[in-house]
Amino acid sequence: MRKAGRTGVRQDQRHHHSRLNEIDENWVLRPSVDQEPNLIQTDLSPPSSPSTSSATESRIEPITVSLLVSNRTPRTRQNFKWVSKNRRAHAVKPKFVKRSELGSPNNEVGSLNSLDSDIGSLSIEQKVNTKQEKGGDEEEGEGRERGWRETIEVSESVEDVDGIFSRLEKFQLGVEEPELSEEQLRINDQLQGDELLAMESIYGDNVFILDRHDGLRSFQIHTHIEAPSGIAITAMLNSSDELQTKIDSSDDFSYSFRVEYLPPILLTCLLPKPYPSHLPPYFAISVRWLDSSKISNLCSKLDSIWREQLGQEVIYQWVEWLQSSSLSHLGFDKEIMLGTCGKRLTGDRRAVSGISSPDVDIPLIKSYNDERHLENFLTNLHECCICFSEYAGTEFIRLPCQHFFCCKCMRTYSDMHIKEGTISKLQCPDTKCGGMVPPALLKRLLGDEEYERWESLMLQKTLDSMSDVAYCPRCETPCIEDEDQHAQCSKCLFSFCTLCRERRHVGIACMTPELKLLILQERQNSSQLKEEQKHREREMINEILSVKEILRDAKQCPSCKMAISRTEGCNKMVCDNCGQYFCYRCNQAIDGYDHFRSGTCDLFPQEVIQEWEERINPRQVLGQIQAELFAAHGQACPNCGQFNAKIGNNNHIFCWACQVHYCYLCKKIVRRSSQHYGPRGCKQHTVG
Amino acid sequence: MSSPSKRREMDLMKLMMSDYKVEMINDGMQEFYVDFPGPSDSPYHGSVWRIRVELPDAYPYKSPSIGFINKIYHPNVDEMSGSVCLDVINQTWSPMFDLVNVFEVFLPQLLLYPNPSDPLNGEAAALMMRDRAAYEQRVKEYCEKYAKPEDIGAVPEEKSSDEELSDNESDSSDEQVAGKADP
Repeated sequence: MRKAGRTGVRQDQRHHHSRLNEIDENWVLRPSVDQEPNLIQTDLSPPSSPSTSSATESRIEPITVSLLVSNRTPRTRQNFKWVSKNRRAHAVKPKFVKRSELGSPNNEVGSLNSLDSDIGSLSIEQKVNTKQEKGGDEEEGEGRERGWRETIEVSESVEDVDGIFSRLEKFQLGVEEPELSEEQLRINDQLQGDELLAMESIYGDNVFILDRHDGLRSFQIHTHIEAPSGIAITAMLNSSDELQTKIDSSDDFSYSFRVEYLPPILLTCLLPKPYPSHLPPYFAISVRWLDSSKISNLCSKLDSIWREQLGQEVIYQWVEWLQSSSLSHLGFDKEIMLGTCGKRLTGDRRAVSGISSPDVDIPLIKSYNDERHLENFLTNLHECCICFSEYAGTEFIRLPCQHFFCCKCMRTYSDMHIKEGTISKLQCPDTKCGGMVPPALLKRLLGDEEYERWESLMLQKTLDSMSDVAYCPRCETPCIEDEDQHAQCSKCLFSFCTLCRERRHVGIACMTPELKLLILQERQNSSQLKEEQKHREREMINEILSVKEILRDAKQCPSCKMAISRTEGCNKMVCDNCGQYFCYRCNQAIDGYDHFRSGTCDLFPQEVIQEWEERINPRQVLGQIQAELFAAHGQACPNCGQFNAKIGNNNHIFCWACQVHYCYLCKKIVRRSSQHYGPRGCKQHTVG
Repeated sequence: MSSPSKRREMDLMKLMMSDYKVEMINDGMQEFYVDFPGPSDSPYHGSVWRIRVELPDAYPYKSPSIGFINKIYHPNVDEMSGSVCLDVINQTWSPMFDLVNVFEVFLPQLLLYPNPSDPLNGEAAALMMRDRAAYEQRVKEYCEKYAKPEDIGAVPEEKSSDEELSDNESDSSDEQVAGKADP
C-alpha cells in the first residue's frame, strides 16, 4: 500500500495484529474442519478459488476484516443485516479494486482467498472503495478508522445490549467455525437449549434472552455480587490520565466508601452452532466499575475455564465463577480499587468497561447500592417500633432523619397532635431525634382539612413568635409594626396605632378605655347610626366590658400583658403565654422563690393556707373557730403549746394541733378522762 | 384498636420481665399497680412506693398517668391524691417511650431532680428552694412513715394515717360535750 491513508491504517492493522497475537494465546480458534473459506467469509470469496490459505496467520485477519467492515454500521442488529447484505455486494468489488490498486496478479489471487493476509488489505481497499463509491467521504472513512480504535479505548455504555451483541457478532465473523455434521449440530442444539433452560431456572430474572439472530441463541446474564458485611471501594483521585496499577505516593487523595450491593457483572453470550462440542460461546463481559484490563483478566479466566473442560457446557461454571471468585481473583475481595479510564489500554475486546471518572462512577455505584437497599427494604417485612406490628417495607414512611415508622402510626400521631394543637411537638417520634417532618409528607398523611389546620397553626405560631406583628383592626391581616406603635396594613392601607387599634393619632395619647366606652355607649343611642355600624360598636362595647371585668380580677403578665387570674395555689405565677414568672401580689417579674423570702409578698395568701389546713385537718378549723368564739377561756396545750378554747363549761380540752386531751383546770395531759375527772379530781364542768 | 393493644401487651411484658412487680387491676390492660423503689443517691432511697399506672386509649401517642398510692413528699406530686403532674411527663413524651422507660428513667429522674417551676405540692417546692436540708429531712420522714417496704402490701388506697391516735378518744369527748348539761 503506497497511499498514506492506507499506510496509516495498515500500521494499525499490524498493531492490531500483534495484539491479536497476544490474545490468540488464550483464545484459540479452532482450525476449520475443512479449510474452506466459507461461513462468514462466504460472501466475500468468489465461488471458484480454491483455498491455499496459510492457516494460522490468516485466521487472525478475518477479525480485522469483520471489524473494519462492520464498523461502518451503527450498532443495531438491523443494520448489521444490512451489512451482511452489503458484504455480498462487495464481493464483486475486489476484482475491480485490485486491478486498479494492486495490479499484481499474485495479490489478486491471494487476496481473493479470504484467509490470506492480504485479505486485510482487501478489506481495507474495500473500505476505501466504498468510501470512494460513496463519493469519497473522507470524514466517514476517518471516522471509521477512528471508530475502530475507539472500540477499545472509550468506555461504552455497558448497558447497551445491542452494542455488545453486535460486538459478539463481530467476533463470530472473525472466527472460522468448523463445519459440523447434522447429527452434531442437532446434539449441540439440544444441549444448548437445555443449558439455557437450566440457566433460566437457576438465575431466574437475571437471565435475559435476546432475540435469536441467524438462528443462534444469545442471552445476557446479570451476576450480582453482594457483600452483606460491606465491601470498601476506594477511588484514587488524581489528575493523571495514566492507569495506576499500584498505589503510589501517599500524597494522592483517595476516597473510600462502603457498599453492600455492587452493580452487576453482565455476561453476554452468543452461542454458535459448534458450541459446546468445538467452540466456546462468544462472550463479552461488561462491568461498570472495573477497567478494561481487569475485565480482560476476567475474560482470560473464562477462557481457561473453557479449556479445562473442552466440549462441555461452560456457562454455568462461568457465571458461578464470576459470582463467587471474580473479586478475589482480581485481589479485590476486601477492597475494590476503582481504576481510571485509561486512554491507551490494551484490552481484550470482550471487555466492556463502564468506568469513566470518579465523579461519575462513585455516585453511580452509590446510587445503585441505595436503590438495592431500598428495594430490599420494601420487599421485606419490618416491625414498626411504635406499634410492634409487622408490615412490608412499602407500608412504612421514612423521615429525612432516616427513622421509619409504619403509615398507620404516623397518621395517628400526626392526627393527634393536630387535634390537640400541639404542632410544635409534631416531629420525629424517635426519643432523641426531634427531626422535622416535611410538610409534603404531612400533606399526604393528613386529610386536606387537617393539613389546612396545620398550616394555619404553623402560621399562627410563627407570627406569634414575631413580636412586631400586629393585626389590622379592619381586615385582620398581619402587619409589621414600625417604631412608635404604628402599623400600616398592606391590604387595606389602614394606618393604625398598635396600642389602641384606632386610627393613628400622632402626638395625642390613646383614648382610654373608659372614655371609649362612654362614647360608644352614647353612640348606641344615636339615630344616625346605621344598623351594621351599630352592631359593630355593640360588639366593641361588649369587648371593653369584658376586658374591664377580666382586669378587675386578674393581673397582667409583666412581659406579655396576658391577663391571668389565679384560681388556686401560691402567688408565684407562671404565664402560660410567654413563660415569665411573676408575683401575683405585686405583679413584678420574678425568678424563683427569693422574692417571697424577703418581706413584702407572701408566697401563700392567707385564704389558701386556710383552705389547705381545712382539708388537712378539719379539727383545726373547728378549733380555731371555737378559739374565736370562746376566746375568753382557753388554755395552752401542755403538749404542744397550741392555744385551745374551753368550750362551754367543759374542762376537758382536746388540742386540735397535737390531738392530745388535757384539763383546763390543772393544765395537765389527761389520758383517762374517767380517772381524771371525778369527785376526787378535777371537776369536768365548771363555769369560767 | 387492635394494633395498639399489641403495643400495650409488649410494654407490659417488658415491664414484668425487667423485675418490677406488676399487678393488674382489671383485665382490660388499662390500669395496674407497680412497686417502685426510690432511686439511690436521693433522699428517697430505700423506700418503696406503690404506683398506679393508667394507660389512656391513645397510648402510646399519649403519655400514661402516674399516681403514687402511698404518700410521697415531692414538689411535683400532689400529696393528697398522689398524682404526678401530667405536664411534666407530657412535655417529654414520645410514642417510642415505653413503660420500662418510665420506671427506669423518667420517674427516677423526677425524684432526683424535681421541677420546681410547676409544683403540685407548693409547700414542698418552697421548702426545697428555701432549705434543701430541711426538705430532705422531710422527705425522709415521709418515707419512714409511709413508704417502708413492708407498708406496701398493707396500704389501702388513699388513707392517711394521721388520725389514728385520736379517733376513739375524741368521739367520747364530743359525746360528753353534747350529752351533759351544764351544772
